[in-house]
Amino acid sequence: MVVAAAERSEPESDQALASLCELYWPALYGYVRRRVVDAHEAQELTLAFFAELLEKNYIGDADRQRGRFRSFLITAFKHFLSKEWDKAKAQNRGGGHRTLSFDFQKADSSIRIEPTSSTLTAEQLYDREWAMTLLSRTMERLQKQANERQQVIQFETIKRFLIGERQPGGYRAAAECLGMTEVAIRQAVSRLRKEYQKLLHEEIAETVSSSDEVEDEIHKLFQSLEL
Amino acid sequence: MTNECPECQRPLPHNAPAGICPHCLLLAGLQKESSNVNSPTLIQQPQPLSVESLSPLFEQLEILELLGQGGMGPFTKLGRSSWIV
Repeated sequence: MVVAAAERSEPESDQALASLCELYWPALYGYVRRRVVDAHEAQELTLAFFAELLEKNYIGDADRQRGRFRSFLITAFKHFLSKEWDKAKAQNRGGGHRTLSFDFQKADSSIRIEPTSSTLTAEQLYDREWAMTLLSRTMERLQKQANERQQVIQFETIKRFLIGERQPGGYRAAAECLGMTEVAIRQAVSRLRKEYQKLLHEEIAETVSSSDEVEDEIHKLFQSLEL
Repeated sequence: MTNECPECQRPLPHNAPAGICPHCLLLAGLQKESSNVNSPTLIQQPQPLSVESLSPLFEQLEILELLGQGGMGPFTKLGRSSWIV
């Protein structure tokens, strides 16, 4: 999608970029909230940045940006912030904020910006929030698939086995709960894990310039969570 | 919900995706490669056999020599042990 977003001649490029912005904006907001004391100012800066990004085609300006969208976005945001902070603060920011609508209250409760809540730097917070957004998005898509297949209860019962078998009650409890055999549960988990991996790779592939970078991005995001 | 991941024992963040540990979820995304059947740790190389180690297993036969080692096991040249009359 980054490629699509960078090529303005493509009819779907605007939508591609808007979709990425609507998904990952909380990571940038987390970054600026860590750097700006006033929440309202942080919100205005976030909105103004995205308005400018969409209106001025930053991605196109970035010479068909190669590499990760995650890195590009934070670099562009830093540049935007330094430019903004050089200006007089009284000006009207982002007069035409277009159609973007961000739920800052929800983002605040998710990110937990309070200065005492963690020792992460603004950039570390950005990467961490990006990882959480990516995983939440992937799990939402997985859940949506389960809804469409009318397997909501099964999904809710076995999703925790995606990460391994060491769950309270193990496969036996899940099997009893769903009236299935343990073998059937094991198979269902295996299928779910494959679906999850496919969706996760799809989501990451939309933010990197080639599929070769997907696994590396997973490693980098893992490191961001370790901090 | 417990506040610790049962897999890795890390504390679960308040906004854990679908209530699942984000560390382990990322690792689960990598498992396609780590569970590769070609992983050297999954292949047990057979131990080299000797005439001495095989002889006690076939008391009625005399193992003359070890000819080779195949995928299904060792090839041996056999002779009958002395008949009990």
